[in-house]
Amino acid sequence: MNDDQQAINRVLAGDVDAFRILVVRYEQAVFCAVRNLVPDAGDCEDVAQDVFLAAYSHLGSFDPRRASFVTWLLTIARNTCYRMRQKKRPLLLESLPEGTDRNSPECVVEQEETFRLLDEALAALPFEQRAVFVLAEIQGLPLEEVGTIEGVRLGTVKSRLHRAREKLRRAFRPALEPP
Amino acid sequence: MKPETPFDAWKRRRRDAPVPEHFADRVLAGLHPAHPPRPAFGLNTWFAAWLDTPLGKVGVCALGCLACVLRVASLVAVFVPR
Repeated sequence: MNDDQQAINRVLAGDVDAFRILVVRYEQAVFCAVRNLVPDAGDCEDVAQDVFLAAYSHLGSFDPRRASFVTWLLTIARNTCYRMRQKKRPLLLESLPEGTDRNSPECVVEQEETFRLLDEALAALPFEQRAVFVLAEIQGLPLEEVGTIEGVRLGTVKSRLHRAREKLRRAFRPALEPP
Repeated sequence: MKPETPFDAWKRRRRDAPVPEHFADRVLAGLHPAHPPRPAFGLNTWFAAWLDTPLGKVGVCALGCLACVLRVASLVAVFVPR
């Protein structure tokens, strides 16, 4: 039995504080998914909180034979964000963490422009492609796990990822071309 | 070491979403200690778990085949003189 399952068993036995172990362990993964999938970055914390509350209330239905706890949790996060997609507003660049340090101010400006183009391209992707891209490329999950979260076959994951990459590449190209 | 491309830097920036301070405390405060989740032991859970086993799948297929055979037999019976 792994650490997650031990914590889950404790929660199911009535030890509510044991849920903190799971929250602390997976808050970064959930936040990353939510931040990249909800239209408004201002909603991130509320959505992430909703994800953990939903996980708590449905903890009894978690089946470790079907998927790992983090996969199950990210499935809840993905579905919560999917329901919020009606509130379609662009992802807020300002709310993202600062970019990497570069030497010259020109480099910083150039990099910020590239990041802005990519942010816009990511926000413009259809939800299914964005979710696959975020889970596979940004969070670095194996494609099989992404398929489990999305509820689709491996081939579908690969084709969605390919289309998402192509669209981002098209957005990325102007930044590389000389003025 | 390979230098980081702008695309990788962008992905890293999107990955490093900072978690607000005391987030876990706020989640725990939102839980209902009086209503802790219970392990699911309903008929649905038992049935879903049974369906997940090879024996369950074989059982469902066998039932489907039996239903199909009975239906075909009832159709053929129409043309068989008594």
